[in-house]
Amino acid sequence: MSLSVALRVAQSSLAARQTETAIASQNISGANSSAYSRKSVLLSSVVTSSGQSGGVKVSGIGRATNDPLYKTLVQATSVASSQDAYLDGIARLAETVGDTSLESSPAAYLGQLQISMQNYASDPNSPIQAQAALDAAKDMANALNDATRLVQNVRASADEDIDGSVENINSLLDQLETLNTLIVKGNQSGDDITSALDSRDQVLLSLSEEVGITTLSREDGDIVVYTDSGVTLFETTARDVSFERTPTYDATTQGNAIYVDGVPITGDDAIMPIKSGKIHGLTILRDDATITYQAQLDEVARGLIEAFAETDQSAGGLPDQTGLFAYSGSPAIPATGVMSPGLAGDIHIESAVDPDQGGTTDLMRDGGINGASYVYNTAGEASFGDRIQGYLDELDASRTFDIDARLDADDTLMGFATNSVGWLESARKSASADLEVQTVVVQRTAESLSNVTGVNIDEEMTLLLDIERGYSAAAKLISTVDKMLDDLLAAVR
Amino acid sequence: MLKQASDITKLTSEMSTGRKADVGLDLGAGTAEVVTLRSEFYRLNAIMDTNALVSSRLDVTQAALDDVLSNAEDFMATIVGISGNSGGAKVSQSEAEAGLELMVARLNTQLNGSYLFAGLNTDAAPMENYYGTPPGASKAAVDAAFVAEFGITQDDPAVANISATDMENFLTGAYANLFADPAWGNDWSSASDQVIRSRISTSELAETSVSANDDAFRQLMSAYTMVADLGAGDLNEGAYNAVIKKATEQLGEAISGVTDLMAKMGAAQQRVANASERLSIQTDILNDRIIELENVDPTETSAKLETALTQMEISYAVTARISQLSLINYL
Repeated sequence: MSLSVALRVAQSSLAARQTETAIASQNISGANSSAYSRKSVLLSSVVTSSGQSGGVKVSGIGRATNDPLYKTLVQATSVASSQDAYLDGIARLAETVGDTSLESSPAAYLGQLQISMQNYASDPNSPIQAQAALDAAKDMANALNDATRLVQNVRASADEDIDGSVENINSLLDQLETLNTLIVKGNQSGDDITSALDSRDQVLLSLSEEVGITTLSREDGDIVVYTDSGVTLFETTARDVSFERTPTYDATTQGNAIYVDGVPITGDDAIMPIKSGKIHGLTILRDDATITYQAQLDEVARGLIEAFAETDQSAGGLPDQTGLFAYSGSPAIPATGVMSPGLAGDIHIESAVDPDQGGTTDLMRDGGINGASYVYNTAGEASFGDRIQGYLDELDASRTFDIDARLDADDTLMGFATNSVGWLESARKSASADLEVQTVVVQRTAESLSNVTGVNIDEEMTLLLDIERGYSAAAKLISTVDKMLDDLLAAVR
Repeated sequence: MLKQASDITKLTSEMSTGRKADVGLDLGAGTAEVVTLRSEFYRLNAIMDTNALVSSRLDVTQAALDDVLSNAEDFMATIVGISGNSGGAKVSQSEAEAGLELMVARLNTQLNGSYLFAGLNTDAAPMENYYGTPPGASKAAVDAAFVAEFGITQDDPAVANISATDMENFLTGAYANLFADPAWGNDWSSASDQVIRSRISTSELAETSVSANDDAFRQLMSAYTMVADLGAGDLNEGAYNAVIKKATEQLGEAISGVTDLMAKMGAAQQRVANASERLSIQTDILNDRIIELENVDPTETSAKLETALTQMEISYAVTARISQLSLINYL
């Protein structure tokens, strides 16, 4: 081996060490970024045409990956973000219940109404008790109105969040397209694409927060992205995800579905509905949990209207008509046993019994809101208590509720209202527990992945020491060869 | 570390309030039970409150009945003791007048703005004053009946000519009709026959008042009025004895009637007291259950808090150590 060959080998070593230093410093700078995966320099030895060793060359940059772990992380993230979005909504619904000691749930207001009526029944002649009973009834109606407003607000903001999420998905898919093109080209031309791979993984992870996805790798590093239900989101180009917002909600409003390239991925029409991701959580919140809770509130309202309705006292066969609690369809009673959507938002106190609206509270005791045929207290006696006792009996009576409210269909009004509280809190509890478990799964998976693909600064520092030694050895080699050449030249001179 | 911090916040609030930090989240479906228990608890308490009101109404009713009863007994003693004595007629007449006024006053007893003996018609005084000016419907009716029967007024000296038989016929005929329906309702009482029924437990209703229309009161009024206002002072002995005989007879029945009413009210008082006692036991049980569901065990919480704090401190210490643990420091 000639001195010049030795010099060339030392030179190639210097070049390789420089690349290695560059990568080590890159690794150190990316050490704190979760998206960064550790890079390593791939070396190969150069052999000259004459069979002599020509030193080393950098043949590429390697990237630490673990595909199964990464896929698990993507999946777990989707599930967790779905549960998170759902739990947030349920927790807002639970505001209608509040702490039990605040007595602010519809069921608690119903209890207070019952108490006021009990007090009123004990002293039907007292205008103070009458006013207290009326106030309790007002509070009851207001509580139902407020709860309806809150439920519909939750739906509207879920809808808004879906819109934001869909926008985000579209922009992520665009980014994905750019990065994927870069990777495919880079692979074909042999450029360093490791940073682009990092970014693409990060984009996919962000995407998985919004919607559940599965990926399929193809040659040249190309990937295809499907929703977890199998609808193509990305293949060479990004597919268009569309959603039309519904700005305001009431109990009868139905939210729009989300479409990918015109194919619905949520809602009843979806053949392949998505199973995870934020938009999944928001959709079940908007189209399922809130609707059920609203149905329960509507049924409580309907029960109230029924319990306080006036029956014909004249034996004239007239139909029952609304009493203390009225709604926009008064004086007809809503159909019994079936839900009237939006009733809880509509229920109010009959103006004829409210002194603030020019009415008189005595009608609660005497009946007759709907005319003389409905007067119970025909003798006009001041301590007539049968009508008020009747309210109490009705509140305790078993009635039939719509099974769509997903509670016991045969129950007292009070029982139904408290079961509604139980339904909501149990939904919150199980959602919260699910999320807790899922969060642990995500954390552990991310940790394991980071252990495999992340950067350990200590390791990089040790590596750097190695590189330093190698570099000085190569430099020393060069200076030695230089000295030998000097000696040789001096001898020749 | 974030989870530990939120755990500590939760435990601290549980320690200070003694209640679970988020009752709904902790109990889940069990929240329905708490809400039911709480509303049941308040409801039973409300019934106990209204029972107290009912009790005071019953107490006042009893006192009034007691007054009426002792007065009737005194009057009975007077007229029986001095019957046949013409000088005593004036005495019994004035005592009857006083008794009549006392009856009206007692039957108009009020509590919290409601007339106790008015049945359900509690916003109107059930009896009007017999000796009011101008004379009330009751006095006018008695006067009219007397004139119609005998053709003279009660203060006419000619009443001395009324025979015992005529007087007896009047007392059992036209006079008795004054105290029967519908004359009683028109001229004497504005009370309703129906009495107040109160809910004394979640399902139990009890009659908790007495109507002025009760037979005992009619007989009493009738007895007082006949002695007071049928010209007893001027009647001949036969007619006077007929009046006293009838009055004694009616008083006897009325006294036993009032005693029955008192017994009935006493039974109602007992029922209310029993119901309240039962309710109080029930509320205690409900309260225990609410506490069991909503409250935390202070010992357990404090132990948990202690552990959580220790853990937190260890976490801090480890973090500090790790941050110093870097190869850079040794290169």
